[in-house]
Amino acid sequence: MDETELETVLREAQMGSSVAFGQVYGEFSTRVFGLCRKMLGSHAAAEDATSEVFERAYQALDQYDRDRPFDRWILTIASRHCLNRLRRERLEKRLFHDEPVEVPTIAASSSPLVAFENQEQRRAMLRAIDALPENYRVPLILKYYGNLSYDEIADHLRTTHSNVGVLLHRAKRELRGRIITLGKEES
Amino acid sequence: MSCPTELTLSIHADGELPEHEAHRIVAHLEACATCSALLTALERENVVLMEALGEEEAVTDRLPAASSTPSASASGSSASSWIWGAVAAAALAPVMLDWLWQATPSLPAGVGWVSGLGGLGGLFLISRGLVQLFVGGQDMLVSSFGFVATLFVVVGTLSVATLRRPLAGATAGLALALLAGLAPPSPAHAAELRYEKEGTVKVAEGESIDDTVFLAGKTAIVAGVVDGDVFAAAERVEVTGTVRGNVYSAGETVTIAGEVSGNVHAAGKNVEVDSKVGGSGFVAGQNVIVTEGSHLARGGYFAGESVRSKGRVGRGIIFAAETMEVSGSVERNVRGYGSQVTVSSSGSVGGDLHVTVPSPDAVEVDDGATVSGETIVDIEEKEKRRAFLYPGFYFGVLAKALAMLLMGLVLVTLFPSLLPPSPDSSKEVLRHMGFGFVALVATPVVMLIIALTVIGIPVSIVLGMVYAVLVFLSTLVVAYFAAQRLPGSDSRRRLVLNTGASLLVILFVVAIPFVGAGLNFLVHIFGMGCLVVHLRNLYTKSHGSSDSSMSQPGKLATE
Repeated sequence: MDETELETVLREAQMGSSVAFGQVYGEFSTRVFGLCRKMLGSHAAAEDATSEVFERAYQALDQYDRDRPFDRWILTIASRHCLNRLRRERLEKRLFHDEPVEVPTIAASSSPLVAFENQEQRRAMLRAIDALPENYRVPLILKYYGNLSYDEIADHLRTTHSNVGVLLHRAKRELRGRIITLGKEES
Repeated sequence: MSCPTELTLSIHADGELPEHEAHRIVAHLEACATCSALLTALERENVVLMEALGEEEAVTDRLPAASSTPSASASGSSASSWIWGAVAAAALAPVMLDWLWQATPSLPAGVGWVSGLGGLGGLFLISRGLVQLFVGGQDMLVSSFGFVATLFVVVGTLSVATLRRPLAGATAGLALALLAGLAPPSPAHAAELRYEKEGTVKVAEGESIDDTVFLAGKTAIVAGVVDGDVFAAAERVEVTGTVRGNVYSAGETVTIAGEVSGNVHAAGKNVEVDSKVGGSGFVAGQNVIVTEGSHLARGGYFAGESVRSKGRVGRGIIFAAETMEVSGSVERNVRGYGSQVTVSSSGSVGGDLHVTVPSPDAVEVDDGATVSGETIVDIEEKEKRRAFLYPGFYFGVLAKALAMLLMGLVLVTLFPSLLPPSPDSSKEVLRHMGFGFVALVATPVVMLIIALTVIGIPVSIVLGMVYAVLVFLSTLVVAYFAAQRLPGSDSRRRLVLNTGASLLVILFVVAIPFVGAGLNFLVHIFGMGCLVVHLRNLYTKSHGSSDSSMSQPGKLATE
C-alpha cells in the first residue's frame, strides 16, 4: 500500500468504514504483533494484545492526527498497551527505576553481538533478548524495533531522556554478557 | 579533553545527544582512535540489533497467528475479537447477499410480495436492493437528483397543505391510504427485479411476466404484459404495455400509456396518464396531465403545480394544485384546493364542483361546461379574515371539534395506553416540541427516501398514513392537556367535556388571521412531539415485556 492509498484508507476508516479499517489491520497487524510479541515475550499474549491494540485504535481513530505517520501512532498505542500489561503483571516490581544492577562490564569494542552474523546465531540472540529482564528488554525493543526516540520511550516508561540512554546502554551490556555465557555453555 | 564514557558514546550512536555535546564528541573522535573504534563497534551493534529484531518479523510472519487475516485473531481468546468478526462480516456481507440472491433468482410461487416482505423472500428482496444500492446507488442518486428535488417540493407542498387544513389533509390521506389498501390484490404471487445502473431496463414487447416486477434504472420501460404489480423508479418511466396489477412509479418523467387494471400511483416532475385504468389514479408531480383518450374507472387524486384532467373519470376527483384544469368528464364530485381552477368548455362534472380558492375570480367555468350539481366556491384567505362574522364558520369549527373528539374517544377506548401523559415541566414541553418539530419536518423526507428504494414504497405509504393521523390528533392532544388543567377534571365526564371545550378554543384561536397560523404550527409540533415521545416510550416498554397491548402501527413507524 503506497502513501496516498494509505491516506485514503485511513480517511475512510476515520469516517467509520469497517472495511477500510480491515485494510489498515492487514497493513499494520504484523508490525504491531511483532512489537507485542517482543515486549510481552509470549505468542498468545501478543495475539490478545494485538487485537486489543486494534480495538483501542478503532475507538480512538478520530483522535488520530493524519499529519503524523500512522505506524508511529499505532506502535505508540501498542507499546503503551504492552507496558500497561507488564505493569499489571508485575505491579510489585519497580521496573524502570534507576537502580544499580549488577552487570558484567563488557566493553562494546569487543562486542560479541557484532559477531552474530548468521541466522542461527541471530536466533540465539533473539532468545537472549527474550530472556532479558523487562526493564532492559522493553526499551531495547522500543528503540531498535519500534524505532522510537528517547523522548518517546521516556514518555512511555515514565522516566527521563537521559535515563533511557542509561537503560539502553545497560541493556546492551547485559546482553553482551549473556551471549558470552551462552557461547561458553555451548562450547 | 578526556575520553567520553561508553554511555555517552552509546547515546551518541543512537543520535540522541544534545547538539553541542555531539559537536564536542565529533571533535574528540578525530583525535582519539580508541573512542572512534568504540563508537564504530556500538554503531555496528545497533545495526545488528535492528537487523536481528527485524528478522523475527519475517519469522513470525510465517506463523498462522501472526498472519494479517482478521479471522485468525478472531479465533483468539480475547473478548475483543468480536470486532474482527464484525470487520470480516462487513467485508463479506455484500458478497454473501449477492450470492444468496443469485441462488434464488425469483421467489417461490405462492409467496405474495407483501407477505414476503416480512419473511425470507422479503429478506432476499431487501438484500438484493441493498446490494444494488451499494453497487450503483451513487450513480442512480446523482442522475435522479432533479427528480428528487422535484418530489421534495411536491411532498413539502402537500404536507404544508395538510398542516394548514388538518381535517382535509387527514381525510385525503386516509382516503388515499384506504383506497391503496383496498386495491385489488395482484393475481401473481412472485416478484422479479430488474436493475440496470446506467442503461434501460425493459419488459420488452411480446414479453409476458407472471410476477410482480421491480424496475430500476436510468430508463424503465414496460412494453410487454405484467400480471402482477409494477414498481418502477427511473429518470424516465414508460408503461406502454399491459399491467394487470397496480403501477407504482416515480421518475423525472413518468408516462403511463398502456392498460392498467389496478391503480396507478405515479410521482415525478412530469407525469402523463394516457391509458385506461381499472382502478384509481394517485398522481403527484409538477406537471400532471391525464390525456383526452384516457379513462380512470374510479377516482382521480391529483396533486401538483399544474394539473390537467382531460380524460374520463369514473368517480370523483380530489385535488390540490396551483392550477387545475378539468376538460374531460367527471362522473361525480370534484373537490379541491387551488390558486386557479378552470372547467373548460369540453369539461363536465356529474356531481358538485366544490373548490377552495384565494379569490372568486380564480374559478372559471367556461360556457360550454356542465356542472350537474352545485358549484361551491370557498374563498380561502378573505373569508378567513372575516370568518368570525359568518355563522357557518362556527358550525364548521363545532363539527370539526366533535369529529376530533369522537375519534379521540374511540381511540382511547380501544387503546387506553395511547393517551399520553401531560408533560411536567416547561423543559419537557420544549423537549417535546423539539421532537415534534423534527417528526413533522423529517417524516416527509424519510418517506421520500424510503420510496426511492422502490421496494420501500408500501412502507412509505404506511408511514404517510401514520403521519397524517398523528398530525390530525396532535391538536386533540394539546386540548386534552389543557383540559387537565381546568377545574373539575377529576371525573371522566368532565374531562371529556373540558377537552371538547379546549378543542373549540384552540380551533377558534388558530383561525385568527396572521397569529393563528403560527399558533397552529406550535400546537401541532407540541401535540405531535408528545405523541411521538409517548409512542416511543410505549414501544420501549412493550419491547421488554413479552406482550404488548399496543397494536397501532404508529409505534413502529415513529421509531
